Order: sequence, then structure tokens, then C-alpha cells
Amino acid sequence: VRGLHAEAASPDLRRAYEKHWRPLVRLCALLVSDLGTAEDIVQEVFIRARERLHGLSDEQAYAYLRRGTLNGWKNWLRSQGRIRHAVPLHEADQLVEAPGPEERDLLWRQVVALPERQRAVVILRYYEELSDGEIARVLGCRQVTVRSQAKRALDKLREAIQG
Amino acid sequence: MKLEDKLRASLSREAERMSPADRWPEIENAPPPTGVNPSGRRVFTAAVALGVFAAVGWLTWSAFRPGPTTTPGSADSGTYLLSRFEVGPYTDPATEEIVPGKADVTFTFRWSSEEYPGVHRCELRVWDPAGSEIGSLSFQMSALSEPHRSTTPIPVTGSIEGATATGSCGLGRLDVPVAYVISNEHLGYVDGRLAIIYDVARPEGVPADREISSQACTWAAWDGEGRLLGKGHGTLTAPPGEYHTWTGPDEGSVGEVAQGTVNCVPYVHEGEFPDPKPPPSSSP
Repeated sequence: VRGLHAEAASPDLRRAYEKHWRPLVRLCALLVSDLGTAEDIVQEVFIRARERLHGLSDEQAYAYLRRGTLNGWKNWLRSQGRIRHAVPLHEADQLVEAPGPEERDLLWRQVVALPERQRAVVILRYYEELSDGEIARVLGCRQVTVRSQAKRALDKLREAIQG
Repeated sequence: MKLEDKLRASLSREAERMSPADRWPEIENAPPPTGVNPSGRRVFTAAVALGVFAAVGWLTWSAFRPGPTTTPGSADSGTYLLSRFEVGPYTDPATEEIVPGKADVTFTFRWSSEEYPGVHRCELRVWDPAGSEIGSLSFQMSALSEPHRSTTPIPVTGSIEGATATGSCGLGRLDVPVAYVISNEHLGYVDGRLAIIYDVARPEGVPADREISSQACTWAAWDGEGRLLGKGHGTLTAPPGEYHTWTGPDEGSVGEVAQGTVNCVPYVHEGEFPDPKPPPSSSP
């Protein structure tokens, strides 16, 4: 039985870092629209996973770390919620807008502007290539909700790029 | 090219633009995570009992419980503020076809103060361009975090072309913010896994027709000498009865766990939970 505390980082952690750090930061950055925030979130996940990766295959380690990353993202959303609470209601429209640099393509900017849950579904479905069942487990909702959120998101995106 | 393929290309392109910094030194040299005993003693990892505890946050707010009764509650608990209403066609989630006679109303809600407002009665109304009401929905609302954007279907009697919506929540709190009575905490095995088992009861003096508020709970595992091995927290909304919280998945800790405790208080702030309750044997 292993403790959670180690004097030095384990080889398992180093291996996981080399293989999964960049993909997870990128996934997280798509969700939060900020690379630095994503790095902070995923760094915390790796620190908390220090001794949890022993004996896991690469695939299992990635799944474990991805789960932690998505939990970290949800925690980040909650902290954002507290900040948002101080925003006057008439400015609420700005809350869901986080437009990227102008040079980024129109479709990505529309993805960024989606409500958080729809955006997460789109990213997990079309970037991470998770099934609707897997997305439902990750987000803690039903598959029909995933499908309906995806449909709404796609409708909005289709309308935006055609308009 | 299909929209889905364009999306894949766009997301991949955006991801490729990002060059994550090397954080290995920070990870390698980081102190042990908060809550981990620096001696390296085995740490108990708590897991929640499905259906009883719900993680607090974005995905777990429980809203729109239809309820026919309106019980007057305290008027100083805050309420939910609704804004940014949008009306659109309702589509059947299974067939993805538009359902006549129903509209999807999307709105933003938030707490009116820093504290969880509890359960409130709310109402949404849908109006046609001429100002006639074509639909309404009365419901009870309870959201453990905020703000959120939400969509709910509402029956309508006319075309939703150009329709708008309004909505509000009453001030009267329908649930009672008192703590559950937690008793008979003990260890046992549920589905082959070690669990803290405990009884939940309503406190005396609360009318039977009033719901008890959602609770913020902390459960903890202790060794035989009263040392804290690990703790976890979550929210609990439960009718009276026996409940359990699994202690897994760290099976290595099982042999050291001697006692389990549960401490619940009325839920007030998002992410705020009570201290663990010490085991009885460690009391002076």
C-alpha cells in the first residue's frame, strides 16, 4: 500500500507528464479559453496524481488525469461563478462572451461564445472524440441532455457561420 | 464539408496553436496535496454514495421540481433572479423533431445575495408579439450554485413566432434551513466496500409538510486512536432513512479505519462545508 506523499516524483508521474501534459493542457485550454489558466488547472491535477498513477497503463493514466482535469475545470467554473455574481445583471450578456483574437477563425469564436455546457459537449465530442455516454458521465447528466445540448450548439454554430 | 468536420478541424487547429509551458519543475517539487498527512500515513479517500450526495456545482443544481403546494416561508432568505429570457421551439430529445404546443424558454438565474436562497416558487410566462399570454409554468426551484443559463419546456397555446418570456421567483422560502439529525454512525460493508453508515432524521419541531434544506456535509474516517485518516464532503438532500457513504477506492486504508463520522449543516455558501465531527471516543 502506498501513501500519497512521496519524497521524489515517481517515474510513473514523469512518464505520464511526458505523454499527457500537452494534450491535457490543450483540452483544458479549449474549455477555459486561456492557456495559463489551463496550465494551472492541469498542473494541480498532476500534483494530486503523484502516487496514483502506479501500475496504470498509458491509456488508464490518461483517463485518470483527464477526469481530474475536467473536475478541475468544473471547480474553475464555480470560482468564475462567484466573480460573475458581482456583475450587474444588465451586463450579463458579457458573461458568456470571451472572444478570441481577431485572427482566429469564425467557427472557433462561435464555439467560445456558446454557453459553458454546450461548449463542453462540443469540445468533448469533436475534439476529444468522446461518445455521448462518456460525455454524460463526465458532465454528470443524462445522454439525452448531451444530445440536446449538442443539437442546440450545432444549430447555433450553423446559424452563425451561415449568417 | 460538414459542420462537424469543420468543428474538428477548427478545434484541432486552435489546440495546435497552444504551446503549453513546461511545468515539470513545479510538479516535481510541489509539496504534498492539501490534507495529506506529511508522515506519509495512508490516506483514506472518501467517495460519495450515488444518489445521496451530489457534488456541488455547475452540473448538479436541482431545479424545476413541479410542486402544487405553496407554503409560506421566511421572506428574508433571498431568492432567485431571472433574466435574459429567450423563446425557441421545443425539440423532442429522442427524435430531435419540433414538438407543437411547446416552447423552450431559456433564461439566466442567479442568487439575489451571497447565500443560497433555498427552495422558492417561480413562474415563467410566454407572450406573443401582441402582448397576450400564450403559456406559463409554475415550479419550485432550488439551485446550489449560480449563475447558470437554463432551458425548460413550457406548454403554449399559440405560435411562438416573435414570442418573448418573463419570469420571477417569490420571496418566501419553502424549505427550512435546519440541520438533519445524523445518528448511529458506524462502519459496514455495502456492495463489498467499506462504508460509513448512518441514519438521517428530521429535527423535531419542523412541520411534516415542510422540506428540510439541502445540507453541506463532511464525512470523515478516523483510526482507532482518533486520528483523522481522511475526509470528504458533498451536499445531501435526503428523506429520513439509512444512508451510506463509501470509503473507497483506496482499499489500502481500509484496515486502519476504525470509525466514521458525518457532520451536516444547512447549505449556505457554495463550496463551504463544516469541519469533520470527531469520533465519540476521542471526546474528553
